[in-house]
Order: sequence, then C-alpha cells, then structure tokens
Amino acid sequence: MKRFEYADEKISDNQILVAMPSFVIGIGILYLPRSMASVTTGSDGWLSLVIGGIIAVIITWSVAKLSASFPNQSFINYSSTIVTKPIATVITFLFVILGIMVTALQVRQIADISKHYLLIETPVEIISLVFLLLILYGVGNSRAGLFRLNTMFLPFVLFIALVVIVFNINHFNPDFLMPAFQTGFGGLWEGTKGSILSYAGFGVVWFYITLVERPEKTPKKAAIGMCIPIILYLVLYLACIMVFGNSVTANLQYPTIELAKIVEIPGGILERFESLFFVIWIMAIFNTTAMALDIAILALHSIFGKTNKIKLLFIVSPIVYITGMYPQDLMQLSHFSTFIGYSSLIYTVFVYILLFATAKIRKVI
Amino acid sequence: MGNFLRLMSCSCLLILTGCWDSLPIDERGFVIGSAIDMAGEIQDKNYDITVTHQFVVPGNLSNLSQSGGGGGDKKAFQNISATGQSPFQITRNMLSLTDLIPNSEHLKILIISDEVAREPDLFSSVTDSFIRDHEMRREVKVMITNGKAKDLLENESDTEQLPSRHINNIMENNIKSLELIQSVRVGTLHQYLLNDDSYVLPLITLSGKDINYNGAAIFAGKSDQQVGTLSNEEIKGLRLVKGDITNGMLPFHIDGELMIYEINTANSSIAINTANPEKMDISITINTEGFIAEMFGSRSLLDQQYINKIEKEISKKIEQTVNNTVKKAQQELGIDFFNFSSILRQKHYDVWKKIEKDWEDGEKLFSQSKVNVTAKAIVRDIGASDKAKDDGME
Amino acid sequence: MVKIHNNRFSNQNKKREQPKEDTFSNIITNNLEENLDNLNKLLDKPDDLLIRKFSIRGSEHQCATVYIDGLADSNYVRNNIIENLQIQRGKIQIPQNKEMLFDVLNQELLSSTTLETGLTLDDASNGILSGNTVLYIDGIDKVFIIGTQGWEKRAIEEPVTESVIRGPRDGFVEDLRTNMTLIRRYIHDPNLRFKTHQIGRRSKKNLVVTYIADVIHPDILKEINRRLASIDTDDAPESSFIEQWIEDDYLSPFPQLINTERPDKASAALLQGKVVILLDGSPFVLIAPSTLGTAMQSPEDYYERWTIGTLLRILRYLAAFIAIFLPSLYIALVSFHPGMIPSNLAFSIAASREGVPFTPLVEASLMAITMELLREAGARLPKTIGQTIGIVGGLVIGDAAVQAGIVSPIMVIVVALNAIASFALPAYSIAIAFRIILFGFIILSGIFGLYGIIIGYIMVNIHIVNLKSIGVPFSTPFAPTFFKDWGDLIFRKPVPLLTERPRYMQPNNKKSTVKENKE
Repeated sequence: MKRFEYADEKISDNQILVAMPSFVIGIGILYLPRSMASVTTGSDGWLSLVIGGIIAVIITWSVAKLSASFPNQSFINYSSTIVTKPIATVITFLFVILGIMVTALQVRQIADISKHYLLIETPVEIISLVFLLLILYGVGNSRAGLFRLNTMFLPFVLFIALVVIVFNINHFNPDFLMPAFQTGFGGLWEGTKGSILSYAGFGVVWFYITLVERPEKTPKKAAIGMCIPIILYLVLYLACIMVFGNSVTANLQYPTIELAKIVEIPGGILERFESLFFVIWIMAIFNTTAMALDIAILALHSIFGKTNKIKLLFIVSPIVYITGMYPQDLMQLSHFSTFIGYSSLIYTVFVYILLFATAKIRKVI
Repeated sequence: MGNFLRLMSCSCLLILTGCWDSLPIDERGFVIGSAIDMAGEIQDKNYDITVTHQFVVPGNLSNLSQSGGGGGDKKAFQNISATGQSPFQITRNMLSLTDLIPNSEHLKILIISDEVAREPDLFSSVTDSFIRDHEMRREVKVMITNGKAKDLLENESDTEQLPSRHINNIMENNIKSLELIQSVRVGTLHQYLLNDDSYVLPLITLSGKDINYNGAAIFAGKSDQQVGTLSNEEIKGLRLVKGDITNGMLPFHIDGELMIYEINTANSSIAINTANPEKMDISITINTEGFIAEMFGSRSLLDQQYINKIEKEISKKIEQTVNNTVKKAQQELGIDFFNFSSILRQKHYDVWKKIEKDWEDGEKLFSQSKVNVTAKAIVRDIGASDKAKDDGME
Repeated sequence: MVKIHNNRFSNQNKKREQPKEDTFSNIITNNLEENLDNLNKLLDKPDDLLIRKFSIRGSEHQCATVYIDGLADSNYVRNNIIENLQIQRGKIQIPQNKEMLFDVLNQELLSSTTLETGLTLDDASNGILSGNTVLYIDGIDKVFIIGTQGWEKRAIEEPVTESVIRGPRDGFVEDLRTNMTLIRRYIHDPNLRFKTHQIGRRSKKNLVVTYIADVIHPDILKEINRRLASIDTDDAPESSFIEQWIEDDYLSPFPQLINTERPDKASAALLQGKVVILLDGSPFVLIAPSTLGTAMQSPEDYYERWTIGTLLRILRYLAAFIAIFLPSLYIALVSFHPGMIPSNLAFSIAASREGVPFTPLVEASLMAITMELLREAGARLPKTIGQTIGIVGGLVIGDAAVQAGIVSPIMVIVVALNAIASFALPAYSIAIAFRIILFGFIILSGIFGLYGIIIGYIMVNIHIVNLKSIGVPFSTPFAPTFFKDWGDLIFRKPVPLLTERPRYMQPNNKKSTVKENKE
C-alpha cells in the first residue's frame, strides 16, 4: 500500500543529525565530569573533552563518508563487495555482539542509577527488566518510529540540561576554573581517552546511514550531530567544576545528577530536582539503548536474511538481560563499561581502516 | 491474544509483588534537624556519640491540621536520641525507638557539639553519612555549638513550633549583619573536607532560652578538627577580607563620638606576591561603599573635609579590624582560614605545588608571610537628615 | 479480529443484492397489478406504504404512485405528480402507444426536479424506501422514480458538544443533504467534490466523501476510498461505525479520526487538504486524517486574536498534562519521593493523610473511579436531574468522604483538578483517551513511582509515533518534523501569516493565498 513519502521507513539526513546526539547522550555524561576531574587539575578537563570530541567527529565523518559512498546498500552488502562475504559476515556479527553488549550495559546502568536516586528497595532485576521490556516494545515497532522518538525526546533532554545549568548560575564560582593549563600530558591523555569513550556512538553511522535515501550530505550532518553532545558535555562539565570545584567533582559518583540536586526551582514548587532530572534523562538513555539494540537486530537481520524481526528480538533479549545482570558490583560494572567503550572505539577504527584500505587497493570506491 | 495474556500475567506479577519502595507519606518520620553529641568520656580514641533526630509530628503543627489534633498544647516535634559508633548505625537503631521510619529528605540543619568537633578526625567521620547518603540534600546547614547540641533541639521558641526550623530561619537571616558568617551547607562542607584548606563554620550557643548565633568555629584543614573560635569582631575582619558583603554595619569612633557606617557593598581583592616563597607578600585591598546610619556627634556632614576625615577614619577602622583577625590567624592559631591557600592554588599553581606541605604545617609559611591591608571606604550618603540635633543642644 | 469479520460476510454477499426468491421476480413486468403484487410481497404490505391507483386523464392508461408515508412529502406527490396526471393543464396529447407515453411523461408531464427510471423491483423498492415516489404505468416494464423526499428534519441548531463563544452557530444535523449544503455554503469552490458511497448491506445509507480536488493529496483519497470499499456491515447508525471500520489501529486508545458537529471546522479541514466524511443520519462528520496536534485544537483558536489563541492552546496542553499525570504524580510524590515535595507542604500532606486507611494508590483509584461514575451518570440523565447529580457528587466527594476520613482533602483537590482539566480539552474523544491512559499511569506510579511514570510516558510515545491516521503519522508535525507547520501547532500565527496549508498533508497547492500561488 503506498504511503506518504515521509511516512515510510526511509530516513532523511536530518534524522541522522538528530540520531547522532540521541545515541551518544546517555549515561556517560552523568559521570563524565568525575572521570575528567579526577585525572586533570582545575578545569583542564575541557581540553580533553575538546580533543576527544574532535577525534570523535573525525571518526564519525570518515565512517559516514565511507558508508555514504555505497548508497542504499546495507552494511553487509557493501562490506561484502570490499572484503568478501565470509569476512563481512564476521565483521557484522561482531557488531551484533557489540550492540548487544551496549544494550546490556545501559539496561544495567540505568537500573543501578534508578536504584540509587529513585527506587532504593526495588531489586535491580525488576527495574532493568521493566526497562528492557520497554526497549523491546520500542524496537519491536517500526524503525521510523525510533527516529521519530529521537526527535521527540532530544529537545526535552537538552531542555532539562539547560534548566540545570541556568538555575545553577548563582552557584557558579569562576575561581574554581583556576588553575588553568596545569595538567600534565599524561592527565590530558587519560582524560581524552575517557572522553572519547563517552562519545562512542559509531554504530549509527555504520548501519543507519545506509538507510538514508540521498546520502550525499549525510557525512556533514552526522558530524554536525556529533557536535551537539560535545558542546553539551563541555557545558555540563564546566558547570560541575564551577559549582563544586575540581576536588568535589572528582569525588562525586554522578556529578551531573548532583548538579541537578542543588537546583532550587524559583517559588519552591518542587524540591530535589535531581529526581526529575534523572527521570527526564531516562528518555535519553532510552534512545541510546533502543538504537543500540535496533542496530544489533538490523545487523543480525542482515546476516540471517529472512528471519522475523520479532523472533530475533525474542532470541536476543534474554542474552541482553543475562549479560546485563552478570557484573556483580560497581567496580565490575565500571570495568565492563570501559571494556565495551574501548572495544567499540577500537573496533570501529579497525573496521574503517580495513574497509577503506581494502577498498582503495581493490579500487572499489 | 497470546500477547495479551503474556502482558496480563507480567503486569499481575508486578502488581502483586511490586511496590517495594511505596510507603505513604504519613508513615514516614521526617527528620528536620539532627544533633551530634559526645556520649560519655573519651577513652583513647574509643568514643561513643549520641545522635538526636528531631522528628516532625505533622498532626500537631497547628497551622496545618484542620481537624484540630491538639494544636497548641502538644509538641509538634519529637526528639529521639540514641548512642552508638556511627550516625548511620544509630539512625538504624532508632527504628526500635519509634513507630516511624526515619526519612532525612527534609533535613534542614545539622548541629555538632564542639566536643565532637574538637576531636581530631572525628568531625569528618560523623559528617560522612550526611554527605554520602542519597537521602541527604546538599543544602543541609551545618553548625557547631558550645555545649550540648541536643539542648538546642529541645528549645522551643514562641513563634515557631519546630526548633530546627527556628534555627534554620535564624541562619538564613544573617545577610544584614557583618558579625555573622554565612551558613555553610553540607555540599560546601564536602568541598572543605576534600580540600585540605582550613575553614570556619557558624557557631551557635544556647543562653537561657535564647539561641545566639554569633561567633564562628575555626577548623584546621588537615585534621578537620576545631581549633578555635572567632569572636564577633574577628568575624568582621574575616568577612571584610572575603568581601562578599551586601549589608553590614561598622561602628567606629571619630573625635571620640560613636558613628555607625552601614556598608552597602564591599569588594576585596587579594594579590599574593610569591617572589619569595619564604616570606610571601599578601596584599588585601578592600573597597567599601555605604552610608552613615547613625551618629552621636553633632557636626554637619555636608562638609567635604569632614567626610574625607570620616572616610579615612572608616578605612583605618577596617584595616585595624582586619589586621586583628589576621594576627589571630597567623600568630595565635597558625591556621589559614582566609583561604589564601586556594588563591595560591588557583593563581600560582606551580609555587603552591612546592610549598603545599609547608603552608600551615612544617615551615609554617602562612604565619611568616606578610599581610598588607589597604582599605578605601566611600560614604555615598548621609541619610535623610544632616543633623538630628544642633550644636547648642549639647 | 476485523479480518475474520470481513470474511464471514463477504462470501455471502459479494454483490449486495437481495437474494432472489421464487415467489416473485425482480423484473418489472408490463402488468401493473403483478408489479404491485410483487412489491407488496417484497415489503410485506406495510401500513405506511401508500399505493394510489388512478388513470391518466384522457386516456385508458392505468397507473399507480407508490410511496411511504412520512418519508415522502405527500403534498409534493399530490401537487406535482397526481395532479399533473389527472388534471393536465396544457393541451398535451396523451399517446396510446406505451413507449411514446413514457417519453411524454418523462419530458412533459412529470414536473419534478429529479426523475429517474428504474428497471427492477430492487430499484423501485430502494427508491421507495429512501423516500422517493415510484410511478408504475400499466403496460410499461419500467418505472419512474421521482424525487419526493420530504421527511421531518431537525432544524439547524448550535452544536451541543462544541459550542464556542465566538464563531458560527450552525451545526450539522442528521440529514445528509442539509449537511452537504452547509459545507457548500462555506466553500464555493468548483473543485469541492462530494462522492457518494453506499454503506450498509441492509441499511443502504448514503455516505459522502468530501474533499477539494486540487488540494488533497491523491494517495489519501485513494486510501480512504479503498478503506470505505472494504466496509461490510448491515448498518452504520453513526459515523463512529465508519471511524472504527477505517481507522489504522483498533487497539489504540487514541481516536485516529476527529469528529465534529461544526461545518466551519469541517470546511477548514477541507481547505487544509483533508477529507471530510459525512454519513446520512449522523450529525457528526469525520475528518481524516487527523493528528495529535489537530486533536488539541478548537476552531475558536482562530476566531480569537492570535495571542489569545496561542495562550489557549498552551493552556490546553497544560490541561492535557494535568489530565494525564496529576493523580499519578501525586501518588509518586506522596508514596515514593516525599523529598520532592517542599518541606512545609510535605508536613501538611502528612498531617492531612493521618487516619486515612488506604494507600495513596487505592485512594487515587477510588476517587478517579468515583469521578468516572459521576461523569457517566451525569451524561445519561436529563439535564434537570443531571445538575442534582453534580451537587450530590460534589458533596459526596468534596465533603463527606473527607469528613468520614476515607480520603485526604488533598486527594480531593487532585482528582477535582484532574477532572476539570480533562473537561477543558476540546475533543471529547481525545479527553476520554487521556482518561484511559490516566488509569495506566496511576497503576505504574503505584508500583514504580516516578520511574513508572516515565516508563509509561515513553510507552505512550512509542505508541504515538507508530500510530498512523490514513497513512499519515499521528505524531506529525512534531515528528516527523515539519518546522513550517509549527506556526499553527502550539503557537498560532497571526491570521495574515497563516498562508500555507499544512506541510504534513503534502497538499497539491501549498499556499492558501492566491497571490503566492501564481509564483
């Protein structure tokens, strides 16, 4: 049945522009200021954030450029033309595993933070199960719907972040920004590594760009989209430093949420703003998680061809749940998250170099 | 249909087993104020502390309950004390003493007895749970008291049913006075504890039925223990150095007559010359603007010469006040509660890295540094009338 | 479910014809008596079927008029048919030849505005049953079906469900023709089209699809026609039957087509490139496709000045928020996150809840259900008694329940505010959808507090973005985003700036002002 042009599964490049920040903004920023502050002095973390950001934008742009040069071909299709079908299948399968891992991690982390700030007694298993069911409902529906959710939720998320910053302005103490440029190279490098991890959202460029109908401008749009989280992270980080100072920021579990904690709404109609902040932030985390799972399903679908999407979801979701519940404590979880962050980054760079070089050598592009 | 059944069974499961966190508001006991005292004598690092929580009894808050509920006669609060090793543990133990489940989300004040505060490292330990616990807000005001902290929570005032709220209100009204330091929130205390800088906390005392909010307790940054107190006059000096004054009065004498200078705004700028780390040069410039609020003499203020003289006199008074406080910090205590150290860290990071260990301890560089105070006071206004009485009337 | 339904009927009645029976034939014969006999057999001699046999003046031709009393205008039948045939005013020669007679009657004698010929009994009976008069002539195997419809109609009145303070006061009525006239009176465009479908195997109601040919996107029209053709039902007593047949998702709580009683709203929708569906017998017309944004609009937004219009819309979105979330937020705050309530308010809520035996979840559900009962009771009762219900309900809820200590006074405020907010929404169908969702949120917040509310909110959003109305996403122009349409969404641009038809409808000519169309 013919539908409206815009109502079908095709994605416009503006939707990629929104999908990039929606995917990247998630749990990372809630503790990012801590990891920045703990390795840098004063407010020098911003350098790391910017350097990391630039690297992330470059990677995004390059990958997008590569994907866009094979318009309307799925990832497995064009990688098959570059590096034979079996290798392409393996690469895609690793992406599936990565997607599942990311989903599992998010599902677990959201449960942990919710337990910390909202539901103290409720078991983590239940909180994450509810969230996972929500994700399944979201992914089980149309992919176009997910992109629409991005456009619906991102403004809320940016708005609440803005509120947190604006209502903290009277707590700002510019003195905390000093001393500047005192961090050694080692600290900056540590910070940069940490910041790139929080920008990791390259699955979108690998898999969704192939769905864009006219991908000429998409690399640019994806890069612009990538800039949104960089700016947001920078502003939130500086706000944390100016409000708490470096030493406190480095010691707070979730500095961004603590930032929301001290917001006083004029008129005092609501206290403990952090609960509201985190609740709204769940929308951002939902977008990240849903897209991660959707990418995994999309990749899996491209390997197994005809299998029903819903069936794949029901196969994948128990794996996600069990993986998410596996880490026992905070430290294990943090190792798990660092591991996933690095593997996603390194794997993206590796696949890009592999595909790009082979394509150049075999003159496929 | 199958989907529907699955959904139904899932939601039934949730509804039947759910509501882990659900607890109606009337079954929670809201702690509005806490006090920490030392229990018994100190015996070689083994001590027990007593924590007193002030629970609100909402039904007895007269302005709220419409069905009467006793109102005036019954107390709107209930103080429960328990003794133990750590505040968190004690709070849990309190469950056996009350039918309410303690909830600290509306905690306003935390009063710590100076006995606890003077003990090395104990202060940071007892406040830890107030910083760490997710229920606590970072806005909880922290203060020190001379004597039993518990007594402050018992002290009912005529205007306010809840002693904690009364103290909280007192702490909020300090903007008009130069003799009071600003209230310190737990969030700020966290920052104090993490940095090794020294700091001051508000000090309140109970004299008879009245709660006096004057003075401040000085804490050494390294051990987080109270090492002294500041008198009103000394606080003036501290606040002038800090410079964040919006309102405050400064009495001074001119030609033997008392005159009161009301400060509207005061700014201070601190510059530290680190050329010689052994003897650093700290110069403080204080600029104030204000008006004459009261005068006992009878000279006309519409005289430029006289105004200049007054301004000079005020500046002298300010310098003298600040120097007094600085002297106390440098000589008497050797504690840098002005936080010159944070200026060093922010502006002279490389120097600071080298002398960090020797600032208050070791070489005691702080005590050796030279502090210059320059004040410039401006009288913007002389009030509505020039003179309230004439020369001849004297 | 719908599919099964479809199959069951489509096998039996592919062509929508009366099943033939042996006792009478469907063909109109030359014999007048036989024809009348057949007709009587088909309709089983109803009392209101009036058959008047007479001969045409100046000839031997026997003929009979047949109509149903009450459906046809008997004055019209007497004056324009029987009189013409019995008392011919002009000097018209009545031919003996039956064929020529038929022509003469057709051309000269029958002075009626509509005149058709019928060949079968079905034609005749359908004509009679829809209020026409059938003229049988002995010896001719055809009948005249003469338009004499003239039943009692309700006068055009102000719509009860959608009254406005400023704006036209006319409303649709049950009569299809009147309704079409009303739309025609609003839009004098030659491109305004009315396409008639017949709905109902037995009821055979007329349904008219209205659109403006050069504005509407052809795909929408095609899709609507396709869906209308799939309707297979005995009867559609109300346009909501049509709505339920052609909507995209029958599980959704949201109305995917908007209904209105107001011709001004319908014609405004037509000009936006939408389709209006009118059904005979229903004063509610359907507007398709509709989106979440349009469900929150009222024609009055345009009739007041733009500042007021905009503020009213913001107020309405606020009302929607309160209507959906207030009780669940109350539960979440009171039983999960008391720290979020300002201290003094928290103490007073705690004081007011002292002695209330139920948890906030039970309390809220109890009150919300009571509210629904009151609303439902009030809606069915005559107006005079309805007021009594309001007073009794108000007293029961507001005072007695609190006095008896069953609920806390704050809960009463919450539920009352919630009810008022849901009545402030412009469309009853969307308001009722919100009230359904409300209960879902009450349960979710009772289990998970704020976490449950946000989970529910995301769930509703997932549903909304996947919902379509005749192929148009329900969530547009929010997402898919059409920034150009945002000027008439929450914010309402001043009228001189409202020059474009909504982009999300992808209309054929975008501008609604003439000057810019030429460019």
